[in-house]
Amino acid sequence: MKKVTGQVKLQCPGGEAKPGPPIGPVLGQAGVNIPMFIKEFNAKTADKKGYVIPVVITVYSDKSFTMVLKTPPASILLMKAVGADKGSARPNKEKIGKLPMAKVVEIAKQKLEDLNTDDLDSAIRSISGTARSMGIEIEG
Amino acid sequence: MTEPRYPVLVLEAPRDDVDLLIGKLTLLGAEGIEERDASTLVKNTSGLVTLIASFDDDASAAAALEALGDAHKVTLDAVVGDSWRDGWKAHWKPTRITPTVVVVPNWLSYDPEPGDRVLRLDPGRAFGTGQHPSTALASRAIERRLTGAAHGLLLDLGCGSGILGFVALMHGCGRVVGNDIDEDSIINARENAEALGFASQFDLRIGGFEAVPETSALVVANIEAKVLVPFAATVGARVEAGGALILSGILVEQRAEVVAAYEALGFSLERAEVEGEWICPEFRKA
Repeated sequence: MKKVTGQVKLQCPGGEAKPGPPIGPVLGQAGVNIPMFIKEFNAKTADKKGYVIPVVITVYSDKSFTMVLKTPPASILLMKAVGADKGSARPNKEKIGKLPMAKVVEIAKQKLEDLNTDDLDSAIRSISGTARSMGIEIEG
Repeated sequence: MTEPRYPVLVLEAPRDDVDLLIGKLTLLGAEGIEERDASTLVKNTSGLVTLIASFDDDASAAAALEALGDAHKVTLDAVVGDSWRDGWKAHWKPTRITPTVVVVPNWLSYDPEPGDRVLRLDPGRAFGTGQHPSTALASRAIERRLTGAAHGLLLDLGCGSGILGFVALMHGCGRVVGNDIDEDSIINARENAEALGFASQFDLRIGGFEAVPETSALVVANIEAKVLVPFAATVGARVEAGGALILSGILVEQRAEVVAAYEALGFSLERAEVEGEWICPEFRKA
């Protein structure tokens, strides 16, 4: 069995990762073939253009690697959902948009696996908290 | 010569703030973000998470720094130089990509077995070392089709380091025309062609599909489904009637989409070899 030498965690643009920093330096340091990672990541996320995709790369002693793709950060999903291009600087006073609770539940379901829980209520509370800290009002 | 400089913002934050910060950094123009915690190769064992976000230029990094405010510890830094690009090469070992072809980094010695064809290569920073299944699959398809057969011309669309063209030339193909949109890849492929003694047979061009207007009875394209599907008509037009088309860089789950796109153009699927998550469909044009 191949020995795991470490993990690298990156957030890259779906379908459009490039070999520059921060991807290249950390993978180069780990001995991973950078063009090969870029090819694999872009092929596997070609349908997720416009989203940031978290990826956990496990590097083995022979410098081969495997990757696990995660769902986009909740903040990105929420901003896409309200059509905003940035969060509020003063979320208590300035709201950037409103979301129905049904949409929050939809995002919570999408994020369930990555939040390391099978408790949907807990995931909804977590996503609602992120929404409020961005200045998104939840209706319903 | 001035070394290239890549600006980055380095932040430290509690785990609970990371999702929101990644969203903010992305919207502020970060091109990619590395996360360091106690579980990563480069560690942060303080209990906090380090985020390293890269930006196109100093101005956008400085603007992001200002926009982030002072809620977290943030510093503007830079990655200087390009030496990291070649670090992985130290670990690259000779790789058998077909029953007869072994790719050997040109700085290593290698003792070939009887029947081996040794392909000495320096891939530079281009894709195509033979380590990736998509390259090995396409190489095996080329070897199978050229063994015992005469082929005058191979078109290698999206040729990267030129590895597939070299495999074809080593199997008696008379001439290869290759293209790539990445200028560095073509420069690197030309250097390899020169070193291998194939310079006069390998015509390497910078550009997209328009750079290769020729048609041939054998065409290979190791690109990606997201390019091969929308450009199916363009790729298909490069194949002569009755000719063969080898496609690679395709995930097994993308098989149906790719096959449908080419069957709609009058191609029939002859074979589709799989290695790991990757598939290499081979078509015949009507």
